[in-house]
Amino acid sequence: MKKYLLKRLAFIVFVLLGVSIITFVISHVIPGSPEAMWVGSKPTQEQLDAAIKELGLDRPLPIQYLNYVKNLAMGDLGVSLRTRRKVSEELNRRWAATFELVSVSMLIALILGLPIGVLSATHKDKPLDHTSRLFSISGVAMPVFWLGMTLQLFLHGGLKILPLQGRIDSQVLIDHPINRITGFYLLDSLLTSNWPALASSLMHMIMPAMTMSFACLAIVTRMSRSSMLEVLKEDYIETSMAYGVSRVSVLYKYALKNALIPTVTVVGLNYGLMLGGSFMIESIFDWPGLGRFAVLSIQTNDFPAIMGVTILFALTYVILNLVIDLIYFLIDPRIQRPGEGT
Amino acid sequence: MKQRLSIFVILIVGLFSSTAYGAGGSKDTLLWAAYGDIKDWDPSIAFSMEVVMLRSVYETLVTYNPPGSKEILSPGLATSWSKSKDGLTWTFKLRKGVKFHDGTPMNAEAVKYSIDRTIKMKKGAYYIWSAVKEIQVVDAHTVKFLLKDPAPIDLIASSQYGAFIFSPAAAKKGTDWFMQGNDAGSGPYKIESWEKSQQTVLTRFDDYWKGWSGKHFKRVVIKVVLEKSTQVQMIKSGEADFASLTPVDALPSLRKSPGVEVLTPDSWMNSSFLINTRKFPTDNLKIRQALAYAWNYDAVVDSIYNGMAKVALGPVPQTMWGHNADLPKPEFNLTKAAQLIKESGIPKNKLKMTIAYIGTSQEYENCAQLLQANLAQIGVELELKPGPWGAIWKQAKSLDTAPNLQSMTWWPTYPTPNDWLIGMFKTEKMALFNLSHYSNPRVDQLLEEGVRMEGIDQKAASKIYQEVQQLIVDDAAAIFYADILTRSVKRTSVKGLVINPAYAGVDYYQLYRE
Repeated sequence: MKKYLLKRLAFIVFVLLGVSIITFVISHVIPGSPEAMWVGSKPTQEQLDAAIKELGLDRPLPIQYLNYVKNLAMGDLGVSLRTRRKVSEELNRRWAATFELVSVSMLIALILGLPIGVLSATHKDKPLDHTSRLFSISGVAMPVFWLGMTLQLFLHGGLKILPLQGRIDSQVLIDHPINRITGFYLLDSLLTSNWPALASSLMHMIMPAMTMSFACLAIVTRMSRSSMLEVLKEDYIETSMAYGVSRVSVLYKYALKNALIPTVTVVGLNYGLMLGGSFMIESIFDWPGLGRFAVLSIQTNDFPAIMGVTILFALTYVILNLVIDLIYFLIDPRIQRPGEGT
Repeated sequence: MKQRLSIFVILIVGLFSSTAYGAGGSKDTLLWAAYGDIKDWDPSIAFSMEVVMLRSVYETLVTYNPPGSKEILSPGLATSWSKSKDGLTWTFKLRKGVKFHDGTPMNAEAVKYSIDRTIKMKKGAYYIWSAVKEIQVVDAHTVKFLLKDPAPIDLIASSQYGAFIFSPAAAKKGTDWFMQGNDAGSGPYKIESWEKSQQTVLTRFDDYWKGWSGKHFKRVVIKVVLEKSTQVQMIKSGEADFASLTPVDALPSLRKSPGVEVLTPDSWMNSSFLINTRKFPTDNLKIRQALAYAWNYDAVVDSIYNGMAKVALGPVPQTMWGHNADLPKPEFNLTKAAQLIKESGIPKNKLKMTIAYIGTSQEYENCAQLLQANLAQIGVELELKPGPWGAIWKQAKSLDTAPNLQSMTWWPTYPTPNDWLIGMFKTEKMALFNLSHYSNPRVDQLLEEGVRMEGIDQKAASKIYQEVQQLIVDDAAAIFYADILTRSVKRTSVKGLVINPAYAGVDYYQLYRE
């Protein structure tokens, strides 16, 4: 097990190196003048020359990359050309906003998706199953930007029950500032009993989380339905039923646990997809997270920032994959732990 | 049970707070929807949209008056100023009893320190002070500028970039200290808090020298709202009092919305396509003149800019002092264009040109396509080369890679016509912004004289600049096509707005809610 973990961790380093080389080369070969962004709108030639030196752009590309990796190894991701602040500081300010949104969305998808999937399986080809299928297909088919804007139009523009954008109300943030513990507004305000902040951040969370979870909800539902159907055909289910074990117990204790493996895989992959989806959703809802930061950085070819976001996302993705592989062992003892037995 | 109760309480609180959405800002708070976050907090460096907000935090020695005022300038931190006959010595008398937000007094030492610091840092718009040789403290409330060459120090001191005065005690803490969201100004508002990429909160500075007896906001919240459609919804629902950079196509519906006021005042921003004067075939004057005739001025302003621009008259905007109002009105005339092309003597099969512009700009894109269609009618082939600014700028600077036509939008650093004329049309050994690669010794000579005269006799300078504009138009160094109108969308309940093209932002101190 230890050996396996070490192997996987070494693999992570390789993946990150690969990702960093590709991103570095792409962001440096596309035509542009990063020095122009660094100095601002109407620079003098003297300012431009100074900027090229300051940013090390006068050196050959491989040397620039080696310098980047050297700094990266020491935890220095460089300075954003657009905001003139340390990229690590920028990411640090934003990662919690994105992970809070993604986690809540995932939670919604799981809490709703699993039971709906199970019910669809047990009510196969009945109205409930058809309805859930309709939802699933529309969930996958609807573009998130359309869904997000439609929700804004209905729930804010029409009904006026939810806030339009942002993570928290301006006034609430002034009157009841949140003490940063984890960076997750919901959690921090709950931990510090800051009820107005909790209420406000909860209300602000609903629309973006709904938008984000919709596609994933569909996939979770479909996945748990189909794997549930597979499992329900197994002999041991029938046997348990025959022994008189209650239906709920059979479904949720035996069948669901076995049906979870493919669902977990999908959930893991979807977590990564959601990080990608944050690009669009955070832009629509002005969510101050990594996705919006990435979009702005890409639009302005702010390469230190693009590199930082890419490396952070890649790191999250590979770690998630590792975690999911480990979860398999927990759910299903039949999967052999690497390094144990032959 | 307790847990259930607390969840219930949260939900109730949530529902109550949710009723506030769309209910409008509070009486004492102004909510401003901004399209970007602050880049540079350091007053010596700030050279971007942050000046919109910093204008209410910092002050300058002199302020530029809105067009139509009797005088061009009014006193700011300086109460009066005078210059020597040769324009080489300027003396400013400073206002007494002004305090910075850190409690230290505003005096001659602080003025000297602020401007010296800006010059030394060589960042942002430091170059507006290039004529300054030395700043002398005469006494606590008198400061003297000694110049290398004559320059309009009063105009320069009114600049929205690079001319802020700040507390030396605070500024000594350095740029990093500013970048944490701290300020050292003397303006009506100080920075209360800054939540990166979310919002900036300004709160009134009780010791402000103009006092707080009139109607003013106590607090200004500048909220970052990048999505334009969201800004539109916020202003419609009353969640925001002000929106900046509203999309043009949203204006008609906003005009009809109750409680919303749409203003479209003149700005000092203008757009042109610079014509390369050294690259074939636009190195030929007749071809350049033909291009100017092939541009459909009215259609561009009416249809592409949706009326949010006026047809430009030369390189200097019509509301800037020194503008030459006698320039001929540009004309769209394809017959004349075809005639000029014939006269150029260039065979038709060699009439191929390129046009470069910022690809993300719908306006540029449409303009380029319209010109392409018009030129096709008279047998000229135009190749479109959109790209990001950094890339097209780099290409335009070098003659080998430069296009024949290059998009350009310009605005002045401090209020002077020479910003356009020198910036884009004075001979440059290595092109920086003279992307026409234009060189006319007469223009160069006049410009040098103009700058000198600006510091001595503004009227004389004005005449010189007008002559320069005529020369540039005669040489057809660019297609000057749009003086841009700004769009200011606000709730009608917010009063006191005075729009001034010299400043990107609005003076929050003037505003109040009725």
